[in-house]
Amino acid sequence: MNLNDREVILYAFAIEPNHDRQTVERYLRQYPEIAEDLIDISSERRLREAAWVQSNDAIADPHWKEAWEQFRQHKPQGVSSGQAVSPFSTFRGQAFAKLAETLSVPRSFLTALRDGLVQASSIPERFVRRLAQTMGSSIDSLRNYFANPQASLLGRAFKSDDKPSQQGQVTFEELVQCTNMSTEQRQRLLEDCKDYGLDRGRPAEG
Amino acid sequence: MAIPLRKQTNDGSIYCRPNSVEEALEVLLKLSPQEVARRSCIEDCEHPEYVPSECMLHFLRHAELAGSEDVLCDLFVVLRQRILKAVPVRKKHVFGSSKTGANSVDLEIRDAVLDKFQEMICADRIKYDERLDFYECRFNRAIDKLRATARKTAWHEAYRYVSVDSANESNDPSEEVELALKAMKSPMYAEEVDFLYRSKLRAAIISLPPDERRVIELYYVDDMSIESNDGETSTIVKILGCTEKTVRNRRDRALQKLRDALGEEDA
Repeated sequence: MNLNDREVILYAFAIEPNHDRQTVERYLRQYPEIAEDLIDISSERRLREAAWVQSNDAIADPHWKEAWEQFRQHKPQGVSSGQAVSPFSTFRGQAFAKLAETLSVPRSFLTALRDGLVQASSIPERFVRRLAQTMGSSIDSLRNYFANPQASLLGRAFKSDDKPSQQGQVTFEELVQCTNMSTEQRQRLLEDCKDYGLDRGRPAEG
Repeated sequence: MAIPLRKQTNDGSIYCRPNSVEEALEVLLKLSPQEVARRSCIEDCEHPEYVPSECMLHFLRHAELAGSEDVLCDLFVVLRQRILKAVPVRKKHVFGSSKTGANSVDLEIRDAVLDKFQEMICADRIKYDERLDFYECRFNRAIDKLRATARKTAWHEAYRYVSVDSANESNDPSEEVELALKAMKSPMYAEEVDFLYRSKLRAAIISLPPDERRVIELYYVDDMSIESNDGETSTIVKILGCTEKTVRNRRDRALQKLRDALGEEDA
């Protein structure tokens, strides 16, 4: 077990809704090599909950300014530094499926957007805003990503002997019409199409 | 809807925030960032506008939700205060004086917890740190993990040269100590034990060396047997990987210390 796995197990145990004997025993049986740490966490939680009086008085925090500066100076995700990073890079596997579910769109629909198969100018502003909020990304970084599909495609890994090239792009609305989805999902996305596209010029055609 | 978490559980599903956190986030995301900052200063967790720490962290992780650096800074400072309060520091008598000072080991633990959290929240700004998903689920419990790790390290550092006396006497816990230990386990007992007494006991348990504290936790709180003939049953001997005599010695030493500590306080 590496340090990272160990830490993840300890966190998973710490946030269990119950630390009853069954839960404690289950973890102890499954991870006997970290038994001491598991017991320590259980003990910390019980002691905190059993007799904890939190004072309302502020506690001196002499280093908060340095800490804040340090936090501020760390560039948020999505801010490009040299090579553009795909906002989708951290949404893989289950996380990607969850993202699609949260947005209430089929996975294949989101895949087409991710893979640059949609004309950037046709993607409704309202949809981009919703996507940015759900992904925890900025609207600008998504705009840049959709506007430079070639760059984003080149940044991804391909298992092919041929150089990757951009396939023919479709409009957002065409994608909505040709993807299998429920009537409610389609209606909501078509509602988005009444909004302005990324070019902010005129409503997406169709 | 709040931005979903990304950390996967063992079975491949994604961790979900408890409903109470999701509901609080839903309300907060509809408010102006300034209003969120105002509410974050409410300290009474029973107050209807109280902002759970999980939500505050959500705003800090997704800076665009805070709208401005001022709001982000306010949330950052308040969340640090909450962490500081989650790691209490005991007072101790200054030798040769009537004054009291802060327990240095506790201060070390508090600093370590705050530093580790700072490291994670900064790293998360550059690359999503999935560990913080645990904090967005149950903030105080995730802090329990940090505190446990920090306490273990600090204790070993502080007492590495202190030898442990072996206790030969067999100590049966007083009824009062036993009742208070049970109160740590179940709220059912809580009303039967004076709150102050429990607080003193809590401080005394925290002062125990880790190996003694673990025996107390398993023996009194989890109701585990020290040893058993049944090979399937979890016992303290099996879990801690030591002999029955060692476990009994640790338990007896711990009980003696708890009795002494409570006796001193009452004197």
